[in-house]
Amino acid sequence: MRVLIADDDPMQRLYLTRCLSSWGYETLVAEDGEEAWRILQGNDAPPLVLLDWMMPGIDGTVLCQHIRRLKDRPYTYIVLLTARSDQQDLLSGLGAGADDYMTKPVNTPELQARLRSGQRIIDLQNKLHIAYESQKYEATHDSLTAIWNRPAILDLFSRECAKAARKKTAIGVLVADVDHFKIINDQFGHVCGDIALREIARRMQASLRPYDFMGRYGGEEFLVLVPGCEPHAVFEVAERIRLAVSEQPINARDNEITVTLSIGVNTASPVSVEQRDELLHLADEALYRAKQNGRNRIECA
Amino acid sequence: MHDPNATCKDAVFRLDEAEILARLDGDCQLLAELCDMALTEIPRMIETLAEAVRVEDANAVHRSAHRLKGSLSIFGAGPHIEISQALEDMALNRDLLRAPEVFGRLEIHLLKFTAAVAALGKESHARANRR
Repeated sequence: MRVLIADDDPMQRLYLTRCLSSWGYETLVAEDGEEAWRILQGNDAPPLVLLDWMMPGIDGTVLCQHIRRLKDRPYTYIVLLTARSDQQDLLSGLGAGADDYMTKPVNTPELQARLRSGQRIIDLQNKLHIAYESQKYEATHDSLTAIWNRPAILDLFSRECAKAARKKTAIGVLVADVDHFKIINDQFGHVCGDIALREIARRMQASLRPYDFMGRYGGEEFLVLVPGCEPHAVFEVAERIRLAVSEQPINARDNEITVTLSIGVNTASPVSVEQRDELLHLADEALYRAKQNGRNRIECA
Repeated sequence: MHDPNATCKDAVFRLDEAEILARLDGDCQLLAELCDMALTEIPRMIETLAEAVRVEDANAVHRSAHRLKGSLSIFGAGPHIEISQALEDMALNRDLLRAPEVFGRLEIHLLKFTAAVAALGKESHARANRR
C-alpha cells in the first residue's frame, strides 16, 4: 500500500520512511503542506497519509479539511502527527477530518499497529466502493443485454429533454420492436431468444453515436434517444439500426435466425421535461403503424 | 522532570539508548542513520533559530523552535526539548524579550546533546555492523 509522509523535518521523514519501507509500504514524501496537497489531488493519490500538524505552506489540520472536501475520490485515511498532546488539540485534529492522531516522538510498534488499522479501514472502504458500484450498475442495467434498463433509460430521457429544452435543440426518440419475437422463442427456444436479443442490442448499439442512449424498454422493445438531431438525421439513425439488425441472420446455437425490427420515430424541438411522455407516446403510435404497414420498416410520428 | 532554568555547563548529558531503541523497535541501523542526520541537521536548525531570535521574528522563532523540538524528540526527553518548547511558547505569545537568554541556554544544552548523539551514533554503527 502507498503512504504519503508529509513532514518538513528531514529527521522525521527519514525515520518514517525507513520504518514504513521496512514494513512493506511504498512511501511518497512531501516536505511541506503544498507539496502534499499537490500529490493528494493527483489521480494516483495514496490512500494513507501521515501528516505533520505544523508544516510550512499548508498545515496538517487545514490539509485534512482540503482532503475531506475532495469529492468522488476513494477514501483517504489520515494520521495526524504532532508534538501537541492536549485534549483540545486532539479534538481539533479529529474535527478537521483526521482519522487518527499520534504524538511525537512516535513509538514505532504503535505506529505500525495504527497503520495496520488504517489499512483495514481502507480495504473495507474499497470493498464497499466496489459493492456500491456493482449495485449501481445492476440497478441501472439490463442483465441480459447489458444496456440501460427501463427506469434508467426513462430517467436519461427526462434529463435529455431538460437539456434539449435548455439548449433549444432537438431530440429524437426511437421505439424499436423485434418483429415476431414470440415465433423466434417458440421455434428456437428461450435460450436462443435470449442470444438473439443480446445480439440485436449489440448491433443496435454499434449503429449509434457515442452520445446516443439506448435502453431495453420492454421484453423485445428498445428505446433509443438521439439528442441534438433534426428529423431527417433521426430517421437515418433509425434506418442504420434497422439494416444493422436485419442484414445478417443471427447465429444462436447453430440456428440461423433472421430478425427484423419495426421502428417508430419522433422528434421534437425544443421540448420540456413535461413533454417527455407525449413524445414517447407519439413514437409508440408510429411503431404501431410500422407494424400495421407490414413490419421491418420505419414510421415517423 | 528536567529544570530548563538550571545551569548545567558541567553536567554530562546521557541519552537513554534503551528507551530510544525500544521506540525504534530495536533498529540499530536506523538509530545510527538518525544520529548521522542529527549531527548534520541540528546545527543548521540552530543557525536558523539563532537568526530568527536575533531579528526578533516571532513567526520564524516559533517555526524553527517547533521543528528543532520535533527532531530532538526522536532521541527522547531532556532539557533541550523543554527549552525549545519554552522558546516556541514565547514566540506564540509574541514575547521574545527573554528569547536571547533562553536561546543561549539551549545552545549550551545542545552542545552536550550533540556530543551524546555523536557517541550514540558511533556505538550504533558498531552494533549495526556486528549484526
